[in-house]
Amino acid sequence: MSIRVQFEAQLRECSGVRETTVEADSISLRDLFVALGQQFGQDFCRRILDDQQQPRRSLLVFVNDASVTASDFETRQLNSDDVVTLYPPISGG
Amino acid sequence: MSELPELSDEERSRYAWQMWTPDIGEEGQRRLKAASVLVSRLGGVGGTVAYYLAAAGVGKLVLAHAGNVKPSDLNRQLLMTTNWLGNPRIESATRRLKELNPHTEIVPVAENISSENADRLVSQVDLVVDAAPLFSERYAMNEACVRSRKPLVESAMYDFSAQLTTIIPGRTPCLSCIYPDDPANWKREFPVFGAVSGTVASLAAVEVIKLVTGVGTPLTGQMLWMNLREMDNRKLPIERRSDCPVCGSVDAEPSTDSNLG
Repeated sequence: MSIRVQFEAQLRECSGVRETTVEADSISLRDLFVALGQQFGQDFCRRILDDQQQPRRSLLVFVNDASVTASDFETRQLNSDDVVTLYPPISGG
Repeated sequence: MSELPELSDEERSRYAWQMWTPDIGEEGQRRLKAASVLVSRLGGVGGTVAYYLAAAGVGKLVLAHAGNVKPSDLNRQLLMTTNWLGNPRIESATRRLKELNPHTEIVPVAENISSENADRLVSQVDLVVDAAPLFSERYAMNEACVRSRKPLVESAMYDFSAQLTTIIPGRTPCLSCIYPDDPANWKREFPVFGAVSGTVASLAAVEVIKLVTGVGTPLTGQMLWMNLREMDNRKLPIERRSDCPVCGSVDAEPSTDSNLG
């Protein structure tokens, strides 16, 4: 199945793409983050995963039109054609 | 309404077009005149917020920004002028705002927000707009606003993205609910066009006007995320965290007749 992942702000900049597609038979949101970290390198990885490879709690995550809280990252299974959007914290003033 | 300050004929003339706005009128304008707002940093966002609040007739602006005007400020910081390069930003901002509206009292503070000065500055105003470029400043302001139960309009941008939410302590998520961990890898310098910072600044000023006058519905419990590259805007629901170390034990205070608390 295919999962579309969209990036905003710095995640777009350090991945170099606006969105990507991840192919997997079955995948949780946390595992998706790990796969993205491997795909886009260390700088990107540090922005979405902490030192224990857990998704950062300060990332706002949407699956389709619904937000997913950090406590559900581990258990939330993704379905084919889901669209995941990652909003990183920004502070420019 | 009797405790609200009166408007002079000159003020009625100055604000006539906005007093035509339904539900504003003379009472709404008097509420704005009675209001006081702290703006943290006067960069591309905060400076434009302050400019619109002065234009709208907010009675008192407490403005916090350290440092001197640099050439690289001038693409977006509309209160800074070329002839003031090398001189204090707060002086340029005060001068520009007084030129625009001499009725607005300006309290210039040549400091950035820290845990040392946040409570003192927040205590001087009814509500706060945060537009600081560092999360450490934003967290200090958030904590001070929660302690004093003052509304906080959070406005930020990066590149062509911008975000906005209004925090009512005890009732809505605070900044530490939204971002419980200090964000990784945030850099002090960021890509910015003045037109982008000015867009979210205008919306932040609208939030202040709504909070002060009681008109409309504040952007609470949601974060407006604007992607101006594709003009794709979205309101993201945000929730309080019961384990939030800043606001988790704070209860809502009774509502008043404005949106201020």
